[in-house]
Amino acid sequence: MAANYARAKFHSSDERLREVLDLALPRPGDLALDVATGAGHVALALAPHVRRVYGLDLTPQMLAQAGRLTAERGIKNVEWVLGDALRLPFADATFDLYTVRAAPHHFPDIDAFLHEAFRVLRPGRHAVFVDCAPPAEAREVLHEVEVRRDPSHVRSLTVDEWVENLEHAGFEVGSATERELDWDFEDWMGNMAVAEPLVRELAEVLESASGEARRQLHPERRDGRLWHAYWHCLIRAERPE
Amino acid sequence: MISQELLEVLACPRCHTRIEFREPDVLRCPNCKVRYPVVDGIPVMLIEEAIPDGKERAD
Repeated sequence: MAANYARAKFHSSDERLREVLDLALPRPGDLALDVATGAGHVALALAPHVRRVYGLDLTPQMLAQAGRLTAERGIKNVEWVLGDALRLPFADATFDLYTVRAAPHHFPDIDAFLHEAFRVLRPGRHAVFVDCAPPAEAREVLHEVEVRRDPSHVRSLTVDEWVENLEHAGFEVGSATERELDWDFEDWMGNMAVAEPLVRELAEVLESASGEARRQLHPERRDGRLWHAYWHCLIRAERPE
Repeated sequence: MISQELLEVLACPRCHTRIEFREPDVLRCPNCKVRYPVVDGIPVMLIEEAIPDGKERAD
Protein backbone atom coordinates (compact mmCIF):
# COMPACT_ATOMS: atom_id res chain seq x y z
CA MET A 1 0.00 0.00 0.00
CA ALA A 2 2.89 2.38 0.73
CA ALA A 3 3.99 2.12 -2.91
CA ASN A 4 0.46 2.97 -4.10
CA TYR A 5 0.53 6.13 -2.02
CA ALA A 6 3.90 7.18 -3.38
CA ARG A 7 2.36 7.47 -6.84
CA ALA A 8 -1.27 8.26 -6.05
CA LYS A 9 -2.34 11.19 -8.20
CA PHE A 10 -4.21 13.17 -5.57
CA HIS A 11 -1.50 13.01 -2.95
CA SER A 12 1.44 13.89 -5.14
CA SER A 13 -0.07 16.20 -7.73
CA ASP A 14 1.75 19.52 -7.83
CA GLU A 15 -1.50 21.44 -7.70
CA ARG A 16 -2.62 19.72 -4.49
CA LEU A 17 0.77 20.30 -2.88
CA ARG A 18 0.77 23.91 -4.05
CA GLU A 19 -2.48 24.60 -2.22
CA VAL A 20 -0.98 23.27 1.01
CA LEU A 21 2.03 25.56 0.56
CA ASP A 22 -0.26 28.51 -0.21
CA LEU A 23 -2.06 27.93 3.08
CA ALA A 24 1.07 27.15 5.09
CA LEU A 25 2.95 30.36 4.19
CA PRO A 26 6.29 28.74 5.11
CA ARG A 27 9.17 31.03 6.05
CA PRO A 28 12.86 30.31 5.52
CA GLY A 29 13.62 30.14 9.27
CA ASP A 30 10.73 27.85 10.15
CA LEU A 31 10.98 24.54 11.96
CA ALA A 32 8.03 22.59 10.54
CA LEU A 33 6.24 19.39 11.46
CA ASP A 34 4.19 17.37 8.99
CA VAL A 35 2.02 14.90 10.86
CA ALA A 36 0.81 11.60 9.38
CA THR A 37 3.24 12.40 6.60
CA GLY A 38 2.74 9.05 4.85
CA ALA A 39 5.20 8.86 1.97
CA GLY A 40 6.32 12.38 2.91
CA HIS A 41 4.85 14.40 0.05
CA VAL A 42 3.92 17.48 2.08
CA ALA A 43 7.12 17.40 4.16
CA LEU A 44 9.23 17.18 1.00
CA ALA A 45 7.26 20.00 -0.64
CA LEU A 46 7.82 22.19 2.43
CA ALA A 47 11.53 21.39 2.68
CA PRO A 48 12.84 23.98 0.17
CA HIS A 49 10.84 26.72 1.90
CA VAL A 50 11.75 26.14 5.56
CA ARG A 51 14.85 25.68 7.70
CA ARG A 52 13.99 22.16 8.67
CA VAL A 53 11.01 19.81 8.57
CA TYR A 54 10.20 16.63 10.45
CA GLY A 55 7.74 14.14 9.02
CA LEU A 56 5.93 11.93 11.53
CA ASP A 57 4.01 8.78 10.74
CA LEU A 58 2.75 5.71 12.57
CA THR A 59 3.81 3.31 9.80
CA PRO A 60 7.44 2.25 9.25
CA GLN A 61 6.67 1.21 5.65
CA MET A 62 5.44 4.72 4.85
CA LEU A 63 8.55 6.30 6.35
CA ALA A 64 10.77 3.89 4.41
CA GLN A 65 9.03 5.11 1.25
CA ALA A 66 9.48 8.72 2.39
CA GLY A 67 13.17 8.02 2.98
CA ARG A 68 13.56 6.71 -0.58
CA LEU A 69 11.85 9.80 -2.05
CA THR A 70 14.11 12.03 0.07
CA ALA A 71 17.24 10.31 -1.23
CA GLU A 72 15.96 10.41 -4.84
CA ARG A 73 15.43 14.16 -4.60
CA GLY A 74 18.62 14.86 -2.68
CA ILE A 75 16.75 16.72 0.07
CA LYS A 76 18.85 17.26 3.22
CA ASN A 77 16.71 19.20 5.70
CA VAL A 78 14.04 16.55 6.31
CA GLU A 79 14.01 13.86 8.99
CA TRP A 80 11.47 11.17 9.81
CA VAL A 81 10.06 10.13 13.16
CA LEU A 82 7.82 7.18 13.93
CA GLY A 83 5.08 8.48 16.18
CA ASP A 84 1.42 9.05 16.85
CA ALA A 85 -0.41 12.28 15.95
CA LEU A 86 -2.38 11.86 19.19
CA ARG A 87 0.75 11.55 21.38
CA LEU A 88 3.39 13.71 19.73
CA PRO A 89 6.99 13.05 20.80
CA PHE A 90 7.98 16.71 20.85
CA ALA A 91 8.43 19.34 23.51
CA ASP A 92 5.80 22.07 23.99
CA ALA A 93 5.95 25.14 21.74
CA THR A 94 8.56 23.66 19.39
CA PHE A 95 7.26 24.29 15.87
CA ASP A 96 6.74 27.37 13.72
CA LEU A 97 4.48 25.45 11.37
CA TYR A 98 2.35 22.31 11.72
CA THR A 99 0.74 20.59 8.76
CA VAL A 100 -1.49 17.57 8.38
CA ARG A 101 -3.13 16.47 5.16
CA ALA A 102 -5.58 13.72 4.28
CA ALA A 103 -5.18 11.94 7.62
CA PRO A 104 -7.39 13.28 10.43
CA HIS A 105 -10.33 11.20 9.16
CA HIS A 106 -8.32 8.17 10.36
CA PHE A 107 -7.82 9.53 13.88
CA PRO A 108 -9.88 7.93 16.66
CA ASP A 109 -9.74 11.03 18.89
CA ILE A 110 -10.01 14.46 17.25
CA ASP A 111 -9.76 16.33 20.57
CA ALA A 112 -6.46 14.60 21.46
CA PHE A 113 -5.08 15.23 17.97
CA LEU A 114 -5.92 18.96 18.04
CA HIS A 115 -4.74 19.32 21.64
CA GLU A 116 -1.36 17.92 20.59
CA ALA A 117 -1.15 20.12 17.48
CA PHE A 118 -1.80 23.15 19.68
CA ARG A 119 0.71 22.05 22.31
CA VAL A 120 3.71 21.66 20.01
CA LEU A 121 3.03 24.85 18.06
CA ARG A 122 4.72 28.04 19.17
CA PRO A 123 2.33 30.83 20.19
CA GLY A 124 1.64 33.17 17.29
CA ARG A 125 2.36 30.44 14.71
CA HIS A 126 -0.12 28.47 12.66
CA ALA A 127 -1.17 25.02 11.61
CA VAL A 128 -2.66 23.83 8.33
CA PHE A 129 -5.33 21.15 8.15
CA VAL A 130 -6.37 19.60 4.84
CA ASP A 131 -8.71 16.64 4.92
CA CYS A 132 -11.77 15.20 3.27
CA ALA A 133 -14.75 17.25 4.45
CA PRO A 134 -18.05 16.49 2.75
CA PRO A 135 -21.21 18.39 3.60
CA ALA A 136 -23.28 16.53 6.22
CA GLU A 137 -25.84 14.97 3.84
CA ALA A 138 -23.25 13.68 1.37
CA ARG A 139 -21.21 12.37 4.29
CA GLU A 140 -24.01 10.00 5.22
CA VAL A 141 -23.57 8.32 1.83
CA LEU A 142 -19.80 8.68 1.52
CA HIS A 143 -19.15 7.28 4.98
CA GLU A 144 -20.24 3.80 3.94
CA VAL A 145 -18.09 3.99 0.82
CA GLU A 146 -15.09 5.30 2.79
CA VAL A 147 -15.11 2.66 5.52
CA ARG A 148 -15.64 -0.22 3.11
CA ARG A 149 -12.92 1.11 0.79
CA ASP A 150 -10.53 1.64 3.72
CA PRO A 151 -11.47 0.18 7.11
CA SER A 152 -9.07 2.61 8.81
CA HIS A 153 -11.39 5.49 7.87
CA VAL A 154 -13.00 6.73 11.10
CA ARG A 155 -15.02 9.84 10.25
CA SER A 156 -14.82 12.92 8.05
CA LEU A 157 -15.72 16.25 9.62
CA THR A 158 -17.62 19.03 7.87
CA VAL A 159 -15.88 22.40 7.67
CA ASP A 160 -18.19 23.74 10.37
CA GLU A 161 -17.27 20.83 12.65
CA TRP A 162 -13.59 21.49 11.95
CA VAL A 163 -13.92 25.12 13.00
CA GLU A 164 -15.86 24.19 16.13
CA ASN A 165 -13.26 21.59 17.16
CA LEU A 166 -10.32 23.90 16.43
CA GLU A 167 -11.81 26.72 18.47
CA HIS A 168 -12.52 24.28 21.29
CA ALA A 169 -8.81 23.33 21.24
CA GLY A 170 -7.83 27.00 21.54
CA PHE A 171 -7.00 27.82 17.92
CA GLU A 172 -8.00 31.00 16.13
CA VAL A 173 -9.21 29.98 12.69
CA GLY A 174 -7.81 32.37 10.10
CA SER A 175 -9.12 30.70 6.97
CA ALA A 176 -11.46 27.74 6.47
CA THR A 177 -12.76 26.83 3.05
CA GLU A 178 -14.54 23.85 1.58
CA ARG A 179 -13.24 22.89 -1.85
CA GLU A 180 -15.21 20.62 -4.16
CA LEU A 181 -13.43 18.44 -6.70
CA ASP A 182 -14.68 16.42 -9.63
CA TRP A 183 -13.74 12.93 -8.39
CA ASP A 184 -12.87 9.91 -10.49
CA PHE A 185 -14.42 7.05 -8.54
CA GLU A 186 -12.50 4.15 -10.12
CA ASP A 187 -9.21 6.00 -9.72
CA TRP A 188 -10.01 6.56 -6.06
CA MET A 189 -10.80 2.88 -5.54
CA GLY A 190 -7.56 2.03 -7.32
CA ASN A 191 -5.51 3.89 -4.67
CA MET A 192 -6.56 1.28 -2.15
CA ALA A 193 -6.53 -1.64 -4.60
CA VAL A 194 -10.21 -2.35 -3.90
CA ALA A 195 -11.42 -5.66 -5.40
CA GLU A 196 -13.67 -5.35 -8.46
CA PRO A 197 -16.88 -6.75 -6.88
CA LEU A 198 -16.61 -4.27 -4.02
CA VAL A 199 -15.91 -1.40 -6.45
CA ARG A 200 -19.22 -2.22 -8.17
CA GLU A 201 -21.08 -2.37 -4.85
CA LEU A 202 -19.68 0.96 -3.69
CA ALA A 203 -20.47 2.57 -7.06
CA GLU A 204 -24.05 1.41 -6.51
CA VAL A 205 -24.08 3.07 -3.07
CA LEU A 206 -23.09 6.41 -4.64
CA GLU A 207 -25.35 6.10 -7.65
CA SER A 208 -28.39 5.27 -5.52
CA ALA A 209 -27.97 8.35 -3.29
CA SER A 210 -31.13 10.40 -3.05
CA GLY A 211 -32.35 13.82 -1.95
CA GLU A 212 -29.88 16.48 -0.84
CA ALA A 213 -27.00 13.98 -0.74
CA ARG A 214 -27.59 13.16 -4.43
CA ARG A 215 -27.74 16.83 -5.37
CA GLN A 216 -24.42 17.39 -3.58
CA LEU A 217 -22.67 14.27 -4.91
CA HIS A 218 -24.21 14.45 -8.42
CA PRO A 219 -22.88 11.03 -9.45
CA GLU A 220 -22.72 10.57 -13.22
CA ARG A 221 -21.28 8.20 -15.81
CA ARG A 222 -18.97 9.61 -18.45
CA ASP A 223 -17.85 7.08 -21.05
CA GLY A 224 -18.75 4.39 -18.55
CA ARG A 225 -16.65 5.82 -15.72
CA LEU A 226 -18.29 7.05 -12.54
CA TRP A 227 -17.60 10.63 -11.44
CA HIS A 228 -18.96 12.40 -8.40
CA ALA A 229 -18.19 15.32 -6.14
CA TYR A 230 -15.66 15.08 -3.31
CA TRP A 231 -14.79 17.75 -0.78
CA HIS A 232 -11.80 18.87 1.23
CA CYS A 233 -11.39 21.46 3.91
CA LEU A 234 -8.45 23.84 3.60
CA ILE A 235 -7.83 25.42 6.97
CA ARG A 236 -5.22 27.65 8.55
CA ALA A 237 -5.49 28.17 12.29
CA GLU A 238 -3.22 30.01 14.67
CA ARG A 239 -2.18 29.32 18.22
CA PRO A 240 -2.80 32.79 19.69
CA GLU A 241 0.04 34.63 21.43
CA MET B 1 21.81 9.28 11.78
CA ILE B 2 19.55 11.44 13.95
CA SER B 3 20.50 15.12 13.85
CA GLN B 4 21.45 17.04 16.97
CA GLU B 5 18.62 19.44 16.19
CA LEU B 6 16.01 16.67 16.23
CA LEU B 7 17.42 15.27 19.48
CA GLU B 8 16.94 18.69 21.06
CA VAL B 9 13.20 18.77 20.37
CA LEU B 10 12.28 15.12 20.93
CA ALA B 11 10.22 14.55 24.04
CA CYS B 12 8.61 11.54 25.65
CA PRO B 13 5.19 11.00 24.05
CA ARG B 14 3.81 10.01 27.45
CA CYS B 15 5.06 12.79 29.75
CA HIS B 16 6.70 15.33 27.35
CA THR B 17 10.00 15.28 29.25
CA ARG B 18 12.97 16.00 26.97
CA ILE B 19 14.64 12.87 25.71
CA GLU B 20 18.16 12.04 26.96
CA PHE B 21 20.71 11.00 24.39
CA ARG B 22 23.87 9.55 25.88
CA GLU B 23 24.93 6.79 23.52
CA PRO B 24 24.24 6.13 19.85
CA ASP B 25 20.74 4.91 19.08
CA VAL B 26 19.54 5.13 22.68
CA LEU B 27 16.82 7.65 23.40
CA ARG B 28 15.73 7.69 27.01
CA CYS B 29 13.04 9.40 29.05
CA PRO B 30 14.55 10.06 32.49
CA ASN B 31 11.10 10.61 33.99
CA CYS B 32 9.41 7.41 32.75
CA LYS B 33 12.71 5.50 32.90
CA VAL B 34 12.18 3.98 29.47
CA ARG B 35 14.17 3.89 26.24
CA TYR B 36 12.77 4.48 22.79
CA PRO B 37 14.34 2.34 20.06
CA VAL B 38 15.92 3.66 16.87
CA VAL B 39 15.19 1.46 13.86
CA ASP B 40 16.91 2.06 10.51
CA GLY B 41 17.96 5.49 11.78
CA ILE B 42 14.37 6.47 12.65
CA PRO B 43 13.40 7.16 16.26
CA VAL B 44 10.44 4.99 17.26
CA MET B 45 8.60 7.30 19.63
CA LEU B 46 5.64 5.13 20.54
CA ILE B 47 4.62 4.57 24.14
CA GLU B 48 3.88 0.91 23.43
CA GLU B 49 7.39 0.39 21.97
CA ALA B 50 9.18 1.94 24.97
CA ILE B 51 11.64 -0.36 26.73
CA PRO B 52 11.73 -0.09 30.55
CA ASP B 53 15.21 0.43 32.05
CA GLY B 54 16.84 -2.91 32.83
CA LYS B 55 14.99 -4.75 30.05
CA GLU B 56 16.38 -5.67 26.66
CA ARG B 57 13.21 -4.91 24.72
CA ALA B 58 9.53 -4.14 25.03
CA ASP B 59 7.35 -7.05 26.22
